[in-house]
Amino acid sequence: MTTPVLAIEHLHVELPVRAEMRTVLHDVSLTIGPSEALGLVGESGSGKSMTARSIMRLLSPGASTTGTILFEGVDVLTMHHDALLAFRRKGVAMIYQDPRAHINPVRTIGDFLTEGILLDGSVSTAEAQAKVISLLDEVGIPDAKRRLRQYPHQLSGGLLQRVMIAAALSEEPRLLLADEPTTALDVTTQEEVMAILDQLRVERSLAMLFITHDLDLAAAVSDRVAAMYAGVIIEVGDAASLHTDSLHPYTVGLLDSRPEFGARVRARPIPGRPILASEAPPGCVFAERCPYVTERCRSERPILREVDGRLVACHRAEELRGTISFAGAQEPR
Amino acid sequence: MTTPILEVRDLRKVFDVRREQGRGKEELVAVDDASFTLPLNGSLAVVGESGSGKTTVARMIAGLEQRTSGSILVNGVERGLARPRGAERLRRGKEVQMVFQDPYSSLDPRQTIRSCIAEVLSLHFELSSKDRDERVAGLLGDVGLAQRHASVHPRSLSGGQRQRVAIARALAAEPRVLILDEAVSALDVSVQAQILNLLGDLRQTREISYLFISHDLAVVQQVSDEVVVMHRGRIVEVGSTDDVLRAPADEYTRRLIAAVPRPGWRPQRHARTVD
Ligand SMILES: Nc1ncnc2c1ncn2[C@@H]1O[C@H](COP(=O)(O)OP(=O)(O)OP(=O)(O)O)[C@@H](O)[C@H]1O
Ligand SMILES: Nc1ncnc2c1ncn2[C@@H]1O[C@H](COP(=O)(O)OP(=O)(O)OP(=O)(O)O)[C@@H](O)[C@H]1O
Ligand SMILES: [Mg+2]
Ligand SMILES: [Mg+2]
Repeated sequence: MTTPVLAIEHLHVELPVRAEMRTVLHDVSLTIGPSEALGLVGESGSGKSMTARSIMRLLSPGASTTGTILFEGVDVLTMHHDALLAFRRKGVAMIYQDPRAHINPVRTIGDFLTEGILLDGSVSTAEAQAKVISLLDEVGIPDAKRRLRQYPHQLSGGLLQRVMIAAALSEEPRLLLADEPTTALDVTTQEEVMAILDQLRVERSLAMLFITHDLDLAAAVSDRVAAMYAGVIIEVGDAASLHTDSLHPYTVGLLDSRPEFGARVRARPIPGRPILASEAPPGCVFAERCPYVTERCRSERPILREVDGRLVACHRAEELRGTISFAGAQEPR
Repeated sequence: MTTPILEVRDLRKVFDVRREQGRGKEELVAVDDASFTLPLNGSLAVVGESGSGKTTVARMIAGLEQRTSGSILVNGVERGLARPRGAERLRRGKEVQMVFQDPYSSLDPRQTIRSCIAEVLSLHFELSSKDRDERVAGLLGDVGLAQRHASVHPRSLSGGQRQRVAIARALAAEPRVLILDEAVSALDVSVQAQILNLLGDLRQTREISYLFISHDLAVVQQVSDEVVVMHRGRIVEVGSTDDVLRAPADEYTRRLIAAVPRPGWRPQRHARTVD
């Protein structure tokens, strides 16, 4: 087996909130291999972005982190200054949902893109320009020379996101963290951007963590999909069979909530509201909203274990397989 | 035939925008002679990619944007171009309400949820404070919020919860037309499903019509009877939602449908002109 590009083991993260430590991630374990895309799905507040920020070691001061985050075998959490800088500059790159919030509005696209390359000191301005133009070409932006002179506000959201992808790739990272990269885009632009990411991942053997709350999109562009709830990974499995073979009631509930394209049926939302990791009960994090909850679920936290080739954290996975439905569940009030 | 609750004819909006390079201004046709009707108690969706003019259409109907030309009829009555005042403005508020995509900017951060909804109620109805509080409680329940949320400020609510407050607030006026501009796009699927069901139920129990703007075709399919497809300010296709989604006639509609992620779908790069 090849070494994974990223291997997170038993990651536990707490953040200070008003002089009190609050859990945001609990016992998270994930691996991503070269050229592999791992989708990370879950409702708002479940801890998807926190997972990405932990990998970058970009948590707020005072955060307490335990476990390991191995990047190509080296623990990011214990990296010293220089190694951490090198990791952030050359090992990993991140793409965010809102490109406009991560780009200086008063500098040209050209300055923004060449900046990182020139930081090395080993390339001339002309070489940097040439590299940037070829990168823009790679992400499907024609007429790159003209674009370099433009300012962020002169570009549409889709174009700007492509510029961000170009910037992310300029250092040739091995790991790409994409946090809802297309959530602000319309479907046609989303398709374009996802296709570009997909192609680059294969061509450059990039490992990708693809964060989204769109399960259909995650299934379509990932190899495996991990579902998160209240800071806990509750299921990981093959993306192609996400819709048919998911085992955890939460995953099935999310899939059922989404209107199915091509059919007009009343949605069956999961009852209740998502909880925060810090509010998680001692047992299963999903117990409160689960129609199949038992006494054991309330008292004993299920661990991720293998069932039918998937990983699932549910005591009743075998027994419930293929029968889960929220149809009879009370709609939330 | 009954009068449609909303009808727009040859609606047009031209913005003066600064030229990208050099000096001077140029005209940008954001909405180009759009015509459609929303039947009483109906639900009409407007779809199209970013910049196609959906929000501009909605804002003109809600009276938040002046139209360049064309007409807007609400319940058969033409809306004049002059800015409404006083009683007329209030009356229009009872006819058309709009919910926006961004729940962060549409609520006053200093108001509690209760007073934010109560404000709309007192504007439109004569109610005792007890009745008003009851209505607030009912509306919160309708949108799936807990009663304890009445006394909090928007900042302590999640995005989905804020959006539900925005919808409750719009419903408080008991409008005849509710315009939802990407109002469920930013919500989690479970919350989104809840709101979509709520919208469906409301249409069964009271006389309300929706103008539903979205680029999410799966959602559109669930909440609308008819759909208007916009592309670069123009309407390229109109029809029953089921027909248009099943057998799109226009090339652009086909592309839009092809871009919807679903099982078995793979994203593809299309040779297309970049804006
Ligand atoms: N600086 C912080 N201090 C304390 N808690 C925080 C901080 N930032 C985020 N949180 C909490 O951490 C949890 C996880 O947040 P995170 O941003 O990872 O969610 P997410 O899954 O990315 O959600 P979304 O889909 O809304 O982006 C949330 O409950 C959030 O309130
Ligand atoms: N106040 C304004 N001044 C100048 N141009 C504007 C203004 N408002 C909108 N536009 C332009 O009008 C066109 C239509 O915009 P509109 O916001 O209606 O599109 P939309 O379909 O709602 O897009 P989205 O899906 O991104 O919300 C765009 O080209 C936009 O840039
Ligand atoms: Mg996030
Ligand atoms: Mg809009």
